[in-house]
Amino acid sequence: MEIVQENNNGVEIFSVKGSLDSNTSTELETRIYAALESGQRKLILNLENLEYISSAGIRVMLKTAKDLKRMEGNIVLCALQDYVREVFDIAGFDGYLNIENNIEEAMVKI
Amino acid sequence: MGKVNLTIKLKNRLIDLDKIKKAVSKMSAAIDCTKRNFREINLILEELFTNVVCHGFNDDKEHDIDLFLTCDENALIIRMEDDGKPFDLTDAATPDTRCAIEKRFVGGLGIHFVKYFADECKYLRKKGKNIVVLKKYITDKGQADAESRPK
Repeated sequence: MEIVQENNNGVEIFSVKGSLDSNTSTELETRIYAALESGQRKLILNLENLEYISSAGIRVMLKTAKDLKRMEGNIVLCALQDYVREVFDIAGFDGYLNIENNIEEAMVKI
Repeated sequence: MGKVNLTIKLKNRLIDLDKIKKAVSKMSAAIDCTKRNFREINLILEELFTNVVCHGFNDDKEHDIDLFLTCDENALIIRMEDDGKPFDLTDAATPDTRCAIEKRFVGGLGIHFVKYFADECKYLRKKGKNIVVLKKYITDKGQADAESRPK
């Protein structure tokens, strides 16, 4: 898994590539919580190049969404591949997490 | 399409997930399965394995977890054995995926995925071991045959 992290107009964007599984999701969690620790409250996860996700990866996103809601922040996911989208749908997150088609739409919604 | 018989010896540590991923990559090349099936098989195995590693044992000792993958023309049979606490995944409650985000129970999601993506699911407790046997169709023919059988 690779994570490219950038800040665009106060929005912290994490572009995740490869596989988000039980061994790699802790790295994403560490990066996200370091950003929250430094005061970031608007996060976008660009999943355009994410090919695989398991419940461990979803758990990180759910935890982040819950914590950001409490902190009055926001997280938006975007550009999910079909398989990743299906896993989210089965998990039942389609109604809870903001999921947009692409990074431009995510920037508008955040 | 070639037949596959693989035995993967694992310990109750998450790093052994890499052994499973490598074995599945090798196997999927041999059986020529689709990318979607490859990812679904990986997901089933990861969730099965991590569930046992994270919740299966009451002690901090090292335990063996044995995984057997057998593949014929249409289906993959997954058999996993561990000597952990009795846990019948076929009887596990399905998480409520409709309740509010603040109340969402995060546990149970992995087993929910296993049951969703596997076509058949059996559990046995034998000689102090959990034995899980799953069937996953890997061709359209196997899937169609399964669906046409009387329920």
